[in-house]
Amino acid sequence: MKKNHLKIIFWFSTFLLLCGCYPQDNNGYVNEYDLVATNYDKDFNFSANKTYALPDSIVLIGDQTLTGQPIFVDQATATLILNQIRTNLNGYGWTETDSLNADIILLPSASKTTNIYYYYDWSYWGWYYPGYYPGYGWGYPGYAPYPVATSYQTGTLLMQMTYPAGIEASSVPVVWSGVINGLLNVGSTTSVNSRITTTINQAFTQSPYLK
Amino acid sequence: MKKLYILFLLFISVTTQSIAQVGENYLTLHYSTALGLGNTHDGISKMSFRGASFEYKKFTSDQVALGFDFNWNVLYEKKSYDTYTIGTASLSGTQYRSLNVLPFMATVDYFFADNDHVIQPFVGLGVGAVYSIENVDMGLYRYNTKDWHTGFKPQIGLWYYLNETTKLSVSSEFLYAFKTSSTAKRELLTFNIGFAFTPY
Repeated sequence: MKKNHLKIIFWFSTFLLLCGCYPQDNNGYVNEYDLVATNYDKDFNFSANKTYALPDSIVLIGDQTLTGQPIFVDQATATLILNQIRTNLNGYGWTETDSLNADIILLPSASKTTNIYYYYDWSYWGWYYPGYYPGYGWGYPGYAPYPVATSYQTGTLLMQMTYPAGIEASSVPVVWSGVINGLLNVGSTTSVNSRITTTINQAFTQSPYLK
Repeated sequence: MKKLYILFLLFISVTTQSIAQVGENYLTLHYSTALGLGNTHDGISKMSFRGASFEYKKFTSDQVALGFDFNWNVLYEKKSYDTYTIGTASLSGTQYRSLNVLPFMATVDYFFADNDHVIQPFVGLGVGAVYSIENVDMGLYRYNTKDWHTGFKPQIGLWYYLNETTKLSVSSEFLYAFKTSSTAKRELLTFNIGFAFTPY
């Protein structure tokens, strides 16, 4: 094969590989990782059951063994979440009452998970192709880019509307559920609170049958 | 104007001396752009500028070449925040969709002019397998689908003489990959530009 053709193939292939990789620009704003999922029992008559009760705190579910008292979400965050749920339900014409008289008891709970992400580039092992980049010979381990290890925490808020009048044996019917999932510990408290407020509002916006 | 242009191309094609190219081999490297059609366009409507193709052609007569080719096109689109509802379940978030389409095809091409012409227009057909990888990223989750399809792709194009061994190659292909039991059909219109050359 002619030398010129080898050069054409090399440079063109390099260009094409640069063009063809997986796009990776989906690392935008942290709120773009927020998800809001809702589901409901289509046979349940929401318009005939308009009173609700909320607890004072939110249980934090983790992988710890339960001994004694459960762990709760810090009270400031819990208050924010509970008030936002309250605002939305009231806006849909619901009335808050005590748990003994409520048609619906809404049980929020939260969980968090730590994920570890580890990455190293193939060049970490020193597999450069020599001769084509000025100053580059065979690489050696430790040459940039370095392997990267990082971790992130995700949090989930689960809101379940339980229907006490429908309890059978040990089963409690859940007639509506909302799940909010996103990154934790990213951004200021104001930013986190704003995401909590927005996503709870979205859970109710996409559930107009609760009106 | 269009007629004049076609006449000009034909004039160039027929006023050069013919040299046989039977048995000659050509490698073609293309930079490839793509646009989804049909349901592929419904999923990702943005034009793709990430793509490449590699082709090998062997002339069995002055105007007919048999060969194979391999393409790689990556379609990608960030969808704005939206709510997706299936039955009683609704899911809201920002979606990032990507679709990798990789056809591996046996090809036959018919050239309207032989090797000695400055411009060699051609039509062709490829038949073979298409591998597709579809990712839908939403929140911190990824829905991934990979599948093999059967498919075909008619194409039109032209070669422009640069020197004895190298030609500028421009082509457009319509790729159709049949649906499978678990994956939708894929339809792409690609536009390719690159070089065709004899490897030795």
